[in-house]
Amino acid sequence: MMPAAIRIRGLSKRYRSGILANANLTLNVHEGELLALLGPNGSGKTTLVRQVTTEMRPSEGAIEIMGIDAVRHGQRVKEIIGVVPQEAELFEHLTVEQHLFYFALFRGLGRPSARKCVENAIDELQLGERRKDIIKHLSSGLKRRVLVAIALLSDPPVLILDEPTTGLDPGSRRALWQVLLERKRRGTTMILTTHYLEEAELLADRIGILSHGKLIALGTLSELRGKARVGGLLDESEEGLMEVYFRFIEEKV
Amino acid sequence: MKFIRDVMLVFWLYVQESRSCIGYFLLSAVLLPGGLLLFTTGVSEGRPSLRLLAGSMLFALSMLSIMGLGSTLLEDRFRGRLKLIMTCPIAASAYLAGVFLFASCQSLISAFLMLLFAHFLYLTPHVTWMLLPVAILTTLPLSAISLINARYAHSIYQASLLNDMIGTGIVMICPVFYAAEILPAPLRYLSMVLPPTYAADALLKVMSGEQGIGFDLAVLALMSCVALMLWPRLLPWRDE
Repeated sequence: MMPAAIRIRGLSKRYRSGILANANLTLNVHEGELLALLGPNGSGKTTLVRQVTTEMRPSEGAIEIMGIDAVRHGQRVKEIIGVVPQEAELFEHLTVEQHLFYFALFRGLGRPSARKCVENAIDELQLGERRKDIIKHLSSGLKRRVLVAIALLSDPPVLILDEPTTGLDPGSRRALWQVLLERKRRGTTMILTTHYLEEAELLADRIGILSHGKLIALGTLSELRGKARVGGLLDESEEGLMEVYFRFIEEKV
Repeated sequence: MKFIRDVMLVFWLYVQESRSCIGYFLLSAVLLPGGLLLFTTGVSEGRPSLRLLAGSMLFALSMLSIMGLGSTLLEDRFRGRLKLIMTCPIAASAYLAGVFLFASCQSLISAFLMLLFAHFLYLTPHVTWMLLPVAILTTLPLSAISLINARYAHSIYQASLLNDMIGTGIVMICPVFYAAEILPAPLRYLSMVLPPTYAADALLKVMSGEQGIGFDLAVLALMSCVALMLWPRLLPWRDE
């Protein structure tokens, strides 16, 4: 088994309002692995992602990314991760190309390297025809692709994607899946949150299911099926991730 | 070195983003403080003075630094752009300094345009480089007001109202266009802790060619230091 690229230990997040968004989460994401996180709205997926990306400080617990303590050294972690936040927006009057160039520079690249990275990202996300368009004139799906392109700049070894395909049409979604599969083939470690079960089934090496802030299941699809059967949650005939997912969620809620 | 590079990158990012609004900016940069100068000259029986010019320049500095900085911070926070910037390995203070530089440049341009505008009223202020540190030390403490609004406001509407009110109002309740004796006692005491009081004094002295702005500069520098110390505390770079 590959070593862990992301280590999460006893992670909890309690908001000032008293709500416990994550409760004692412990998991590893191995190098080159794509972990999909599933769960209903409010289950704590985004809270977990925000803590991993250093956007939010955990109440308790530890996060280590490629051996760096993400709680203490947020800036250093940001140098090695690419992030697609769920609710981020772009600058309306900048072009696609300008966005990518500025954000490549923000990642510490020199101008020649930044230009090269911009070209690679434009090719990878098929944004060539729209590179000179200002963001204001793009559809929400294209904006989402630009956000993904920004996350891919500088080829980070770890990618954190919070519902990256939300709002994309089926064609764009499939194109993005190809990008993620290619990244996986090249050894990028990824955490992906999604509500699309077919997406998790297609892309993920392992799947985690969150409910009420707790990690109620974690494993490959066949392991989850096995656990569901042993626990009496699933019949032999029920095979798909959807059945497994709902059985876990309904049993634990 | 990285810090300065990041500050300049943030600055140019916002310059690029606002290029389409440059006409509106120049119009407001002249129209509002220029209009105020004309208005105050009118109510002073048509006698323009350096005091009124200093007041209009301060109005430009205050309006554009509080409202300009405030609107950028608010848009970033409430429209989700800050989330995107925060994914990058740049320091919160570099982001803030870049946005502040952007807003300050706008306010400095507006204040400079007032110096040109003054010639239409046959005012001939003494223009020296000393105006620059006075202007910068005026905008720095005012930046803290924008930050407090951006940090604690519950909505973009609420914060915009506060920014507009304070950005224009703070110059009115300080002894800028008039002598301090005119103010009621509570406002007089309040004005003693507000930067425009000292900035007006310093601007007037510099433009009159007088000496002795050391005290005003020292107070403004002290207020600027307090503002700079507040910067990292007021920007929610990492949610708690």
